[in-house]
Amino acid sequence: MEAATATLVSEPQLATAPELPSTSSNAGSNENGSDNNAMERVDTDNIGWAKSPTESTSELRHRSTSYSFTGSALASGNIADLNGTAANEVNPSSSSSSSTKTTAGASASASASATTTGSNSNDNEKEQSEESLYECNICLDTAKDAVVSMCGHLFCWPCLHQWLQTRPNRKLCPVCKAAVDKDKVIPLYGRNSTRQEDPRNKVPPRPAGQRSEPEPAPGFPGFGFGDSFHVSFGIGAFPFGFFTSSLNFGEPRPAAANRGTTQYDDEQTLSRLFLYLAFLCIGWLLFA
Amino acid sequence: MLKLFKKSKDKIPKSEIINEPKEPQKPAVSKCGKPLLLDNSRWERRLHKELMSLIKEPPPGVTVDTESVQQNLSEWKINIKGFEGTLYEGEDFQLLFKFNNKYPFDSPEVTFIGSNIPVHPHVYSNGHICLSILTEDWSPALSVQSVCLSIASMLSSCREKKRPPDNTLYVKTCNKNPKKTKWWYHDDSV
Repeated sequence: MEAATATLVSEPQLATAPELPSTSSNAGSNENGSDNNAMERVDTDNIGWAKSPTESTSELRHRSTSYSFTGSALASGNIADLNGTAANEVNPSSSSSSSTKTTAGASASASASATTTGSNSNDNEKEQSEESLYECNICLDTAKDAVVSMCGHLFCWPCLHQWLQTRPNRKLCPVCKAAVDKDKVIPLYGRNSTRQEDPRNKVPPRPAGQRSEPEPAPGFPGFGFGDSFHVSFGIGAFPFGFFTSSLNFGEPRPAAANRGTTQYDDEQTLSRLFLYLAFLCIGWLLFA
Repeated sequence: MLKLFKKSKDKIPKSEIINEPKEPQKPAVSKCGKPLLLDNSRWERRLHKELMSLIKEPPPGVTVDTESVQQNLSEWKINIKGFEGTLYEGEDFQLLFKFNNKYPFDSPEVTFIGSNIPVHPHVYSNGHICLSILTEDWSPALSVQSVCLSIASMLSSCREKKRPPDNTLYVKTCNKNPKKTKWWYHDDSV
């Protein structure tokens, strides 16, 4: 149990990972031109830095796993980490082909097959590792309708919603077990998100960004004496008061509920109920 | 009057979605309002992803029986080695993971199988494991890999090889599915 929580807590370190490739990618872009973010770059120049993110994630995994062990496992995890960062620093200065070798050789965790793979598989790995930084912590896919919890963990909204519904009385962040709630997550809107379908049309609805609506206009305008004069008639039963008829000055009626809310529906039902009751009473008075 | 109440009850589910305009027509929808088809492939996709990463970068001492997985994606057999320097050094164990289609929202069913079941105060002789992350402390951010590591670390931190005190009674009376057991997690030391 201890081990499990330790692995969970170490997760936020992923947040630092994006910076590793970015330093070396700048060096590469001098030769390649402006399209830094294009996913389909199949240059040999990119192999050098394309590998570093994969390794950085594997280091992170090592680091996170090493918490659950003592002794040798912990030490080896740290060594791999140091080597990896050193190799990353070397990357921009050295030429692309040699840097590939240094990273592969230096990191203890790099698999032997990685050095022999062609540029295509390297490219795939690069794409995977770049995507993995923005993966939903639940479905492990790139987060769709992304939301971020207050503790900083990224999820698809449908995934998180389903998790919150699975345990409605224990709403915890799946990664760090901090408290999460529907109102306490922040939706992420990317640049092109407006062109796509409105995410709120999807089920379950993603919580909207926090933007308070202005006060709704009063629903019932009143009878022309201003909005502060009401007359009501009624017959009271003894213990509850003799007269329920009343005259009210200066107290505005509470605004009617918005259409479509449960309150509105309830009010409608109630008002119909009382209408029928009134008819019944009148009928009883007339015929009895 | 009764009719009235019925009407109002019918209306409530619609009005719960405040501010949402009319939902577009959606095909097969489950009770919780999620497309069933999507749900079905989602847990398989996640299992595929986990399998790939487990094969690519297996944690130390953990190997997947890929043949068993190829036959049935919802039942994995995983081999675990006892770590050096622990009481289980040199021993090999086999774990069986059973996933249902609610994975990862529902925890997998994890038991030790095979001839060698570790003698450990939290492992019953029928292979059931008393580990909180397998039931109430499960989180969808956990994975097969992290469960394997937790079990490995549970084994590694053992100081004395012995069965749980209530082993004979439990093994006689328990359900086949360890998730049906109401576990009482009280001992954090091992």
